[in-house]
Amino acid sequence: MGTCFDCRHFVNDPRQLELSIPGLNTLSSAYASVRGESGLCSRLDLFLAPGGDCPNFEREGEAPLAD
Amino acid sequence: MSEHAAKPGADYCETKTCAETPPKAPMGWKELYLKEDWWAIYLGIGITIVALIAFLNGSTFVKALAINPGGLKWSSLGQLADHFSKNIGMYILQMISWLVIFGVSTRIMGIKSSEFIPSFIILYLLSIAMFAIGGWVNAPKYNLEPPLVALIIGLIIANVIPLPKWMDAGFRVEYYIKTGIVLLGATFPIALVVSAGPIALFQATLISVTTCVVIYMVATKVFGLDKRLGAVMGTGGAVCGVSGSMAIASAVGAKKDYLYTSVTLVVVWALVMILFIPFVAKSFGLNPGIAGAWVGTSEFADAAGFAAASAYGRMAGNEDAAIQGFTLMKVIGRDMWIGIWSFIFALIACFKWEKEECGTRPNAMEIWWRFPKFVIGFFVASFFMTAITAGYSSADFGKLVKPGLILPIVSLRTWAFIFCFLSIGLTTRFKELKSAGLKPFFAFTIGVIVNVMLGFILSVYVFGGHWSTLGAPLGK
Repeated sequence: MGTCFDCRHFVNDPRQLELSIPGLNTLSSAYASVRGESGLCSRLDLFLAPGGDCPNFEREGEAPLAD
Repeated sequence: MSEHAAKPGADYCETKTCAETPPKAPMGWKELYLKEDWWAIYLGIGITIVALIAFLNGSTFVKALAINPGGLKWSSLGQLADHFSKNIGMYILQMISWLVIFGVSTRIMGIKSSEFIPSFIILYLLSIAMFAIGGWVNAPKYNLEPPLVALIIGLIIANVIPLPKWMDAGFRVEYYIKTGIVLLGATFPIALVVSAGPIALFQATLISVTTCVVIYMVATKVFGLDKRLGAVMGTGGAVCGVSGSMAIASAVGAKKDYLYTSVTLVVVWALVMILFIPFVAKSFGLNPGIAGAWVGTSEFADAAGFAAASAYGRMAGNEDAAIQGFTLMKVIGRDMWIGIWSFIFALIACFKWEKEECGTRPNAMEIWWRFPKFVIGFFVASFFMTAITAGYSSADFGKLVKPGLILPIVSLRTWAFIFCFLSIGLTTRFKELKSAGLKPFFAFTIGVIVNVMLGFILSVYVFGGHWSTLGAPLGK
């Protein structure tokens, strides 16, 4: 099993993050070092570090698992 | 139903344990060209070196390029028009220079040039207008300080005119303030960092810990809110605003909603403080160094704090002292420790909260990954320029170095700050901010009140004698 970083649900593109959380770019930035590679889990709606693991993991590029 | 079919959140928190493998390195060396902190260092140090080379070769090009209408003291529109008609070529050249260095770097970071360029041109033209307002001879009488005017006009534009979202590509608040901070380092005596840094660190740590604990305890114990929300709001209010919230949200695996709530509270209170602190400081007639230290203790974000400190410094007639006090307290006293806070909360989340919920095994490298790298640029620029100017006598410094090297760098720094202050307003769309809810609002607000009062007491009464001596420029 991979980490959040490799998961298809993990969104860490800075532009997408700033669009997802209005106000984030007002006094900070998704392009800042302080964010590291953290991102949003679009499945669980959590803001996560990239190194976590999870039973909901689905590798990038794989067909989605049935719900 | 497969093991993957449970509802989001349910199985995750029941079954997930700390990862057995440490988190992988975020982006490795790519960070050097994908993060704005590094670009701020390259631009700040690069501009400083170019200015130094020009100065050493007797060229006045950088000095001419650093033009701004802020010091005109014009009393009629004719004077202002005359200034622009005489210098239109230099302003166009300056705009192109900013456009190239910011445009190329943002493109490499992944921001579309087709969005950045038109947005930045508008930002530049608005910035000229802000400088021009500040250069009016009667501006100080009406408190028309460029940082405050830029913020308010930006807010009005963003909330009255429906600016398209893509324009945010050019309104890079953090990138501009970080570049300005590195340029500030080039005029900041390193001796001041060494002598005042430990006191700033002590005061900032005392207040940060107190504020964080107050917000966390009120949120969780009084209002019964989730501890992750308490942690995200606590660090947002105590350490570094939205950046602090973001770092801790990922360290503890907070809900997106928690981060959004904290972002909203930080933005709203930071805007209030930009206006509140300078005018309260003025009513007390505070020394600008003391007021700068207070702003550094009680503002949430670098960009907002520089706006407040710069505005009050101008009101009090010593902008350097206010900015020095703020920088020591916020950049050195608080910003540098964001990674450590993040690591501590990750430890708490994993080893204490893990019993009930989930988390990711903490990694001490987090402290470096989340370190605000632009601070390195501030130190390097300060050390470098202090060493370069140490060889000049006081007389030569005042006659040659200050007008030929220091003031052009200060002017370029002021441009970067004005881009930032305008961008704060232009990116704040109140209707997009989340309704925080009364409990989070009151928990955060109680923390703000404690922070502001404790910050005032420490800055004015406990360490006031120390902060009131600030304001000496490089070379003295």
